[in-house]
Parts: sequence; structure tokens; C-alpha cells
Amino acid sequence: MKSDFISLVSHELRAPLTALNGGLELAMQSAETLPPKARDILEIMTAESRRLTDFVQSILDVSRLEAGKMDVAPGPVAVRPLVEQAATVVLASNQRDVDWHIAKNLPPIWADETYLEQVIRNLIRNADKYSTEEYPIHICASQQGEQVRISIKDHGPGIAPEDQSHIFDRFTRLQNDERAPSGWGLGLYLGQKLVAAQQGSLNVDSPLWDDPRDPGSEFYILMPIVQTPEDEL
Amino acid sequence: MPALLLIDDDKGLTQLLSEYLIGQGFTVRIAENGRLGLRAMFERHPDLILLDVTMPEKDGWETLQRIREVSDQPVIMLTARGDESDILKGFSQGADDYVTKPFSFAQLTARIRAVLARSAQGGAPGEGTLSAGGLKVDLSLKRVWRDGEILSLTPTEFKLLVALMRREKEVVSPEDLVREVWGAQYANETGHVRRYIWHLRQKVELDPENPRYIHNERGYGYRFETSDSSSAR
Repeated sequence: MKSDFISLVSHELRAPLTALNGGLELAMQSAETLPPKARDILEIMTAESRRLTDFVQSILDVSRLEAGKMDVAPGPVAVRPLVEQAATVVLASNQRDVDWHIAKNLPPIWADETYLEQVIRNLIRNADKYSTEEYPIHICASQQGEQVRISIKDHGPGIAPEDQSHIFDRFTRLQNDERAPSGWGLGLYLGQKLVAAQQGSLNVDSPLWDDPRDPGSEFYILMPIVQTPEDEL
Repeated sequence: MPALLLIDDDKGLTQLLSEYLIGQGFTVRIAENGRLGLRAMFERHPDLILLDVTMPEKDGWETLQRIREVSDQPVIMLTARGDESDILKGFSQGADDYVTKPFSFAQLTARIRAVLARSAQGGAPGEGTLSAGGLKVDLSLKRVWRDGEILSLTPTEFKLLVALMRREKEVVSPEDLVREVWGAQYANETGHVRRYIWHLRQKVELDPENPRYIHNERGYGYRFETSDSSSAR
């Protein structure tokens, strides 16, 4: 009932959000002619409107998934280009170092490349948000039997064992103080559901490092490798 | 100056969108429901119709049906529903494109220009389309049809097919395919190309064991050729 209500409200927000975003787009066209203060206000409104749009989109994705209406279109996916693309998009605007460990000759995995990239982007964004810039993000991929393991490790505050069981719940945010990075607590929930819809799994391991000053978390995805009849290739 | 007809009952959106589109060099006529939209279409003969799905007094689907009974003017559907089944329904009823709310005005403008460019070519295969032996690829919509039936390809499969079709009758090496689909930096990672081709054939070919479109040239690569087709353009 509650979920239906949220879904309905989110759905109804899509039309006014189009007008709101479009109006801001229109106003931004003449932003150069505005006083600096008005331009700043317009830019803040644009950023906030985009954030609200992303939130509504996440809610709709969640409700579609829960209703079994999310159309997953799987196919063979090359891991290295997908992960590198995700990292490029998320980290394009900052100086964050990435420590890459992608095994050579990884077999393609069976996944929906659009949704999987969305999940990986979210994990990289989280790793970036929750750890200081002096440390790199570690991105690894390797074959484990009939699966490929893709992991994103950070040097952030880590996740206490008692919190790890509900980190993937809806609207869960472990840090709610003023210093907490912005977010809605939907990314991991949606990520785990999306990966599960592709016959994979998303899990967490924490702490990671021996130094208690940078305990860190590792989120890892296990995806099945592509099954192709060898005699037909 | 291309003339657009915007059929949508959302007054705030139509006012802002028409102002934006006029600024982009279009003329815009607004109709607030399907009935008035049909009347405006008969009176004005617009170059393209933007049609909202959810409206009182003849919804978008019913209006589209009536438009298609008498006209082949290009139609872009605007909707708050983004399910794949809705998109497929739109295309099967004769929509030329489909944009989901919330969309950016700039994005919609680009789609309008793409559909108008296709329409100016008389719907015949042109720069935005590849066609061979019953297979049709729309490069801007990123859609593929086989004998009128829409096929569900992943973005990578779509790029692979396009790479082969653009060089119809030529043998394309795995290295060239990788360079074109994933990028030059992955040119040495050709080991799994045959798996991608195998899966692409499962979707594109009616009988994958006796392919009509994608042929192996053992030791050299792959060739797209249909025995009964004119050249892919």
C-alpha cells in the first residue's frame, strides 16, 4: 500500500519535473545576462531539481523492480570496458586515484549492461563520497569458477558488522549527521535488486584494512559468465 | 521553419516547451487534447507532432491511431510511462520516436531534428538507417527490426551489428570489430568476439545454425551479407 502510494506520487511528479527542469533550462539560456547572485540561485535550483529528478527516477525503478516490471535485457558483457567506462563517468571531474586490478582475458559475463553499469557507477560514487581523497579507490575483477567477481574497495569509515545486514534495506543511511554525504538511501537497495534480477549478487565486506584509521569497505558483485556451447562457436 | 504541433494537456509544460522550441527555430501550435489536436493537424499540416500519452478526451494512443488512419506525419510520443512494453506499443502503432518524462528540452529538440531529418528522406533508408535483406537498423533510435518485427539487442550487440552492416560484404577481423565496438585500447582482447557473435546470431538470425546475415570467414573474421539484399546504406 505504502509502496503503491510512493510509486503513484513519483509517477505524478514526472510531468511537473519536466516543466520545472525545462523552465530552468530555458532560464539558463539567458543566465549570462543575469546578476551573479541570480545566476548562482539558478544554478543551485538546477542542481537540486536534477537531484529530485534522480530521486524520483530511483523510486520508480524500485517500484518497477518490486512489481516485476523492470525489463532486464541480458547479453554478453565485457567487464573491463564496462567498469572503466563507469569509473570514467563518475570520477571525470575529480583527481581521485584508482588502483586497477582487472584480470587479463576475463570471459564475458551474462548481464544487462545498462543496469550493471548503473550499479557499478553507484558503488564507485559511494566509494568516492565516503573516503578521503588521499587514498585511492581499488577496482578489481577476477574470475571465480563460473562467475566473475567485480569489487570496489575504499578506505572510508567502514560498516560495522551489525549494520551490514541492513545496509541493503530501503532508505537506510548509516550516517545521518550533518557531515553525512548527500543521498537517499536507495542506491544499494536498488543495486542489490538489480544485480539479483540479472542472476548475480551484490555483497559487502568490512573492515578491510589493518590500519584502524582507514577501515574501509568492499562492495563486490558476482555475475555469471556467459554460457556458450563451445561446439557451435 | 519546421512547424510542430504539440498535443498535451499540461499547460505549464506546453507554455515553456513551446517557448524553448520557438527559440530553437520551430513554429509551434499547441492543442490541449487529442480531439483539438486532430483538428489542428487537419488545418495546419504540421511537419511533426509531439503527442502526450495521458490526456482527457482521446488519449495519446487513440489519437495516434486516428492520425495514422489518415496521415504519415512523424509523431514523437511524450509520456510519463517508461516501460519497454509501452515503448514497443508506441512503435507498433506507428510512432516515430518515444520520449519519457522527465526529459530535457535539449534532448527532445535533438530527437525532433533526427526524426525530421529521417522524414525528409521520405522514410527511405538514408544516413540514419541501415537496411539489408529484411533487417532494418535505425541508428538514432538504436532499434533493429527483422521483417517488421522489433528485435531486443543489447547496446553492445547493436554496435556489433552496425559495425558489420556498415561494411557489408567485407570480411571484418575480430581486431577491427573490437576497435570499433569497445575502443582501440581493447584491440588486443579479441578472444571472446566469437561468443558475442554467437549470441548476436541467436537474436538476429531466424536460423542461427544456417545464418542468413552474419557469416564466419574462418581464420579471418566475419562478413555481413544477405543473398537477397541490396546494399546496406
